[in-house]
This record gives sequence, C-alpha cells and structure tokens, in this order.
Amino acid sequence: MKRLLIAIFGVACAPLPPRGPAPRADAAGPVPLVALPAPGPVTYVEVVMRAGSAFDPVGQEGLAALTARALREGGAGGRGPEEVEALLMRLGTDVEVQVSHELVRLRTRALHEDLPELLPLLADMLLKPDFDADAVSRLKDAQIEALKTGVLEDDEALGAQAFDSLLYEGHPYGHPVDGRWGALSALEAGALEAFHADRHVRGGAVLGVAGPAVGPDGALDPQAPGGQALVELRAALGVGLPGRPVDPSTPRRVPAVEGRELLVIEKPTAGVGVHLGHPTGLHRGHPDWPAMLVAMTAFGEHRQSHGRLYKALRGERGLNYGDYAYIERYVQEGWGADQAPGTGRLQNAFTVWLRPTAPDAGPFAVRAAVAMVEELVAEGLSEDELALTRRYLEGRVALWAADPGRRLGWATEAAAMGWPDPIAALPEAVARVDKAAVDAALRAHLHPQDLRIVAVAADGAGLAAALADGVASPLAAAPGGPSLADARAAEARVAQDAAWAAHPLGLRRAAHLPAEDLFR
Amino acid sequence: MTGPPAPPRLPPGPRRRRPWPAAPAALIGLLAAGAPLPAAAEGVFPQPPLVKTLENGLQVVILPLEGTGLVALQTWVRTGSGRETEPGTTGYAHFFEHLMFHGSARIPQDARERALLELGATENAWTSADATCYHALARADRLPALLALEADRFQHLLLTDAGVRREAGAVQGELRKGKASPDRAALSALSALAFRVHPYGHSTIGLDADVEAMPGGLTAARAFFSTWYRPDNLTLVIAGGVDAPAALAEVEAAWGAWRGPSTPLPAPPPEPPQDAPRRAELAWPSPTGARLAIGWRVPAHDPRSPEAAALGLLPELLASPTAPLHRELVDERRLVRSMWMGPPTPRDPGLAVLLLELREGADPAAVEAAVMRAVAALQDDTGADLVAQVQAAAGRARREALLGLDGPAAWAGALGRAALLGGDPLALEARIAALGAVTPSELTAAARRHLTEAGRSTVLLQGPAAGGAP
Repeated sequence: MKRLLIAIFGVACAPLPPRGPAPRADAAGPVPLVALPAPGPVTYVEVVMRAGSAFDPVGQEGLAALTARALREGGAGGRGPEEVEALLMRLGTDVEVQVSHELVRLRTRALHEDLPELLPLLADMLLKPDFDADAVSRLKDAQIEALKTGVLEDDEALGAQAFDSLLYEGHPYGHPVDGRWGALSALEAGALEAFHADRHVRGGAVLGVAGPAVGPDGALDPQAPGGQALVELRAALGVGLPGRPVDPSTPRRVPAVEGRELLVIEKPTAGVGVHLGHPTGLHRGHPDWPAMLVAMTAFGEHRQSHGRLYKALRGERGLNYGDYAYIERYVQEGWGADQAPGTGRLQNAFTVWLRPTAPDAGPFAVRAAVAMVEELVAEGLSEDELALTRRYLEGRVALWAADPGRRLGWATEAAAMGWPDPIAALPEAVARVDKAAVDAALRAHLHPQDLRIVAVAADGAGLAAALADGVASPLAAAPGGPSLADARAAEARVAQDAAWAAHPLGLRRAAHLPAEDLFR
Repeated sequence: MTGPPAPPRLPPGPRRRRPWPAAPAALIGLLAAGAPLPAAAEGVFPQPPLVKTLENGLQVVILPLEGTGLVALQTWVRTGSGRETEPGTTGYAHFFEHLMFHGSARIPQDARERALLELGATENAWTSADATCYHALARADRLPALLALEADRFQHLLLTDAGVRREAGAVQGELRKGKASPDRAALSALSALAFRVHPYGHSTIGLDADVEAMPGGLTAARAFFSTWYRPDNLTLVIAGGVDAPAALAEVEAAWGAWRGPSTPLPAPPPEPPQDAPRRAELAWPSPTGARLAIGWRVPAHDPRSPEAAALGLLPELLASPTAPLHRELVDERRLVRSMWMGPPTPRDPGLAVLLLELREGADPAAVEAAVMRAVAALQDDTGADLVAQVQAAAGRARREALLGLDGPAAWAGALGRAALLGGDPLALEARIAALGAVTPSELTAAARRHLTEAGRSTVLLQGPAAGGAP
C-alpha cells in the first residue's frame, strides 16, 4: 500500500502542468467576444445578456424568463415557431435558453457545415423575435404550471426556493426565476416587446465562441470552417442590438438577518429536508471568494462524500442521502453534478442543505448542523484539512469545464459579470489560501447566530416544538451507521450524539405555512 | 453512485425540447456499436484510437484528444442486471456499483478517498441491464495514479460482512426511493411481462426479496465478484489529453499481471420467441398521470445488421417533438404530457420501449390507438410523408451523435458502449455513418419485422385520479 500511495501522491504533488488553451476576451469589437480555440467538427456559440429575473419589473415577476424563452419559441425573422422547430431538428441541435437571476444565456452548438443556416436564425431570435401569440400563451401557461405545481411536487426544490424567497425578501432575488403566477397571469400584451427593447441591448451582452474558427490569438478566422458565419453573427449583433448600456445596479440591499428563525413549509411528505444559512453579499469577484470556496468544499462540497457534514450525518450516522454546504446557490446542469455556468449571482448566501431525513431524525440533524457551523467559524479548518482541500481544488476546478461548451460558458459569464474566469484563476488563487486567510474569511462572512432555517415537513408545529431550547433531540438509533469495533470511538460517538442532541438553537421565532401559499 | 437508468423526466418549468447537453443520448446508447462500414464512412475520430486486448483478456481503448488538459477513465464491466441468473442475486450487479467504493486489502476506503482528493479527481458509477460502468475524470497528468487505484480495487477489493451490511442499507434506501416513481413501476412491470426466462425480466435494482436479503449476502457477493470481475469481462477506456503508447504502458503495468479464471463466462438463458400480445394493468396508490408503456421485441443489437441503424431512428420518428405522433398527442390533442422512447440497442434480444405520461382525464385507449396508427404509418411504404421524415430523422440522428462527442467523458462513454455492444469500439464510426444513411425502405422493413402485434407487451398504470380505481 505504501508504495502505491507514494506513487499516487508523487504525481499529485507535481507542479501544475500546462492546461488546454484558455479563452481570450476581446472587448474592442462591435460586441464583446470571448473565444476559445477548439479542434474538432463542432462549434459552440452562446450569447449572454444582463437580462435575468433580477430585472423583472415589480409586479411583472417572470417577465424576463418569459421574454427570453419566447425568443426561442415564438418565431424569428418571419419564420413561424414550427419552421424554427423544423430547422433546428433538421440540424440536430437546439438553441437552449437559460435564465438565471442575472443573466439570460442563449447557446447552441453545431457542425461547421450547419453554421451558415443556424447562426442567422440565432441572430433573428435576438434581433427580430416574432413573439407569436400562441407560443407566448403556451410558454406562459407552462411557467405558471411550473410555479403552481412543478415546484410543489419536488420537496427538495421547494425547500431551496422557499429558502431563497425568505432570505431575499424584498430583493430582486426574492422571487423564483419563473416569477409569480399571479403576476404572470396579469401580464398585458406588449410587455414582452417592451422588456426585449429595454433589456436585450448591446451593453452587458457578450458573444462566446469555441471552435476551430478561433485562432490561437482569439480572433475569428473567416477562412476557417464556419468562420465567415461567425464573423457575420458578431457584426449583426453589433449593428442590431440597441447600443444602450444597461444599468446593472437595480436596488441591491441584501436584507439583514438577525437572530435565528425557523420557517416550516408544510406538505404531506415522509421526510424532513432542511436549508439553513444567511446572505453574505459575496460574489465570485470578491477577494475572499477563494478562501470561502476552500472552506465550503471542506465543510460540505455538493454531492461529494468527503465534506465534514456528509461524513458526520450520512457517513457515520446514516441519517439521509447527503449533507452539503454552499458559498453560492447551486444550479444543476443537465444530468451532471457540477454547477451550471451562467448562473452566478452578485450577492450570494451561505447555505447548508440537509437532504430529507426520517421525521424523528430531523431535529437532531438540524442541531448537529448548526453546532458544526459554529465550530467551523470558531476553529476554522485544520492545517491538514486545508492542505488536502487546496490540492483537491487545484485539480477539481478544471473538471467544472470538462467540455468546450462548459469551458466557454464559464469564461463568457465571467466577461459579462466582470469576474475573473474561475477556471483560469481559481487554481492559483486557491493555492495561495492559508489558514489565517480561511479562518479570517469564515469569521468575516459567516454569522452562526444569524440563521434562517427552512424545513419542508409534514408537521410544522411539531418540528418547531422539537427544536425549542430545553428539549433534547436524541437519535433513536443510527440506522445506517457502521458498527464501531473500537470502544473508545464508540464512546466518543455517544458523547458527540448527546452534545448535538441537546445543542440549543435559541430560535427567536418559528412559523409554518402551507406549501400552496408560497409562490402566489 | 447512480441507480438504474430511468427515462428522462421533463424538469419543472416550461417544456424542454431535448436534453442538453446531449450526454444522455451518448451514454444511453444512441452511439451503440455499428453497422457495416459504408463506402463513404466519415472519420469521426480526431485521432485513431488505440485498441488492444492484453494477454489476460482485458480490452483497452485509448483515444488521445487535443485541446483538453483532462482525462476520462472508464471501466466497463460487461455485466449488468441482464446477467444475474443465480437465484437470490438479482440486483447484485448494481450492488457492486456500491461495494467497489469500499477500498481494498491494500488501500482501505479512507486512504482511497484521500488519494482521490489529492488527485483532484471525481468518480462515480452506474449500472444498466447490460453493463456496470465506473467512471472518473481528472487532470490528464493524474492518469497513472487513477489507473493504479482502479487496478487495485478490481484486483484486491475488500468485501467484509460489515461493509456488505452497511451498503445493503443504502441500496434498500434507493429501492424505496425508486418505488415512489410511477415511471419506474411501469417500466419494471413491462420488463416482467415481456421476459419470462431471461434476466431482463427483473429491474436493475433487483427483486424486493433479494434486496431485503442483501445484508446477509457476503458469500453471494464474493461469488458474484469472482464470476464477473475478471479481466476478460472488462473494457478499459481512456480518452483525453494523453499520449497513447505511454498510457498503454501504464495500463499494462497496473493491470497486466492480473489473471482471471479460464472458465467461460456464464451466458443467460435465451428468451423464447413471443407469439402473442401481452397486457397488464397496474394500480398506483396516489393520484398521478396514467402511464402507458409499450415494448416490442427487438433482436440483440447486431453491429453488422443494417437493420440496427433503422431501429435506431424509432425514437426520432415516434417520440421527438417533430414526430407526427408527438405533435398529435402532446401539441394538438393535448392527451399526453410527455413521451419518451429508449434507443433499442439491447445486448441480448430485448425491447424497444415507448413510455407515455397521460394528462388527467385522457383516455388511454385513445392514446394507444394513436400510437398504433403511428406505428402502422411507419410500416406503410406508400406513405407520402415517410420519405421526408426518415431523411430528416437520419440526418438529425447522425448530427446529434456527432454533437454529443463533446469532451473526454462523452468520447469514453461512446467508445465503451460500442465495445460493449459489438465488441469493437471502432464500430462507433460506422454506426454514426449508418444512422445518417438509413433509407425509408430499410425503416419500413425493420418496422414491419419487429413492431409486430404478436411481439408487443403493454402496461397501463393508473392512479385513483386518472380514471381507474386501484
């Protein structure tokens, strides 16, 4: 074993090797371009605009998403929706519309030979959308249905959305990207056209391209396969998008959180799922971001088994399927487990996510998680934990961009938001994080005494009562926990369980409300 | 660790036309092993893959890719739930998907986890009826270390009573979670209906009784491991920023000394032909949209049969957003909320499966009749629209297959699947060309031969609110 491990660590500790080519940004042209050379038959194209749901006019929540989706679905440049669909099907591709709080992202990919047909359609979607009334009506119905029933069917998505709504109450992030169904129902004709004219403008827009038509210098080569169509797309966007700058500074005061409060979303469900945390106001351009990323990775990286939370609650006690911690809102892409590029926020929150436990284990899990947050802030990371996490992230970050489309997505988002490109910048930044930096960042940005705790559970009053001070929440048994042969380890486990079971939360307020009332 | 593959469900929110990125298509098997090489086969490989079978029978496939600093390592075990013939061991292929992460006699679980952290790698696994695939992704210079870890667990896996008991609990949790899904229930019932002899008749997670008995399954687990986890039942695929000869040398160093048994691999009993339609109804305890699952018996995916490519277009022609059946049922009559068809590329004679989720109040008989009309239209070579439909579907299938090859993991998955289904990973290239070359008459002939009434099995699942009292 020793020889094997030496072989493994010997490689792991080698200096960083040269990576694949990095995207280049060119802000000088008609519309800013981020370009990545990528050999192979496929070209990836995306356009991002600062037109996400944070820019929904008050009372028209959901308009940004509806408008963006109607670019794709509502016909373009005189082609009806069916004609657009047929063309995309024939080309074996799609134009995917992704809407997040800050950005709208239209992306596609195609074989070079198809770019001369595909890219004029993409340009027309952005510049000459038809907003076909039937298509808009269908999209609106689907968006309303998603808010009325879709979120409610998935307990975990419901918890995440309710947590967001509570944390960002009164803030542009306080409603779901899909909006509010009451507001959507009341949208008047012409609202989409007005939003499109107002927000889909050149200021804040970025064109991203990855493919063989991108030279090593980041320039588009019109002689290369598909190159001419790309050059024409960039020119068309430069001429066609209104030349106004966007005002990115909508009122952005993150609501203050003081003390600890519990909100239980009640619905018939077999488990208790929990989100807890508070806004931090941090974003990816903040100097403390690398240190906080290291801390959250060690504390509970999403869908990985090495974090403290996961090891304690699932690994050792078998309470649920997983327990994670976040520096930013996690948005899943497709079937993968990594964050979707293009979904970053300007003001983030610290979040702990406890996947559903059995109802009787829920109170213990909450107390344990809060105690672990307190311990994290008080003591920081151990030197060993820090060194291991740093080495891990130095390799791990590159895996967020495992294909040219994702690599391009991260760079394009960074250009649009004015952040460092994380794939290029984070490995070195993380390598510089030391214990003093990570401990100081934790103390500066996490406030364990000020937590919002949102649970999805069947019995709100019962859960609130079980989390009151002076009440203990012992574990009935460790359902999936390993048997501990070592008597001292078993003793330590019992002592730890007892301490967590009685850990006081000091809730100053507890409330519960039916799930159906949430996103009206 | 993932469970058995389920049909993609439409995520909440406005309808998405197709999954993006197209990884599921690549992984589930659109790129299954190929047909005879057409004269105008295009070169899909950026560089020729290196394919070699080691002396111990281990198949190795290495594809160097430019422009990426990453490498995907996938170990394909050619054993899924469709090889589980020993009584009491259904679900063990998937069980190993969990047990393989328990460390070895030489590198215990904790040390293994730590080593992966040091490497900055991610890993996971999935199981289907035909295979179990262990996949990892890391910076390309980490490959030797990844190979060493992978070779170690395959050769020296530590199977203990405590480990088996603990992991059995996790599988039981997965079984309970899966039971909440009407899609899975309908598909499981369809498999059981269509297969009476072949192990395709049970779902990947296993029969309830066998999963319940897993905690005491150490002996059975050891027997399963020694039967199936042997070098001549594995394909190792490496794709990414690597030098092929150097990577092959690393593979030989880590894996070359492993010796498996010389006994032949067991084969599952063949399923007798089906000579009459079969039907089952299933009551669902809570309100849900009715599910109609229809399966037609299709042959084992034969890479040398032009028919395989024609059958590969069925999902496009029946269930894609521009398919006439989709337009009729989803868009115009609004009887169906979503529809899905899996790529019919089974390793043994299997099923082509169409699954429909009905809207509340929709008449299942009307939906089924529409499906049968659409099938009849595919069998009618005088249909005016069919030529255009097949041409469009063929072009689209070829393009989607090419567009799906978008990174180390996607390439490794496509090569691994081609190796699993045809034995020859290079057949991937021919398969993509063949998809693009299907003619209307080939399609019609394949539909007539295989989408038969006698070979059809049908399951209707209904909840109390969908019109049927359970």
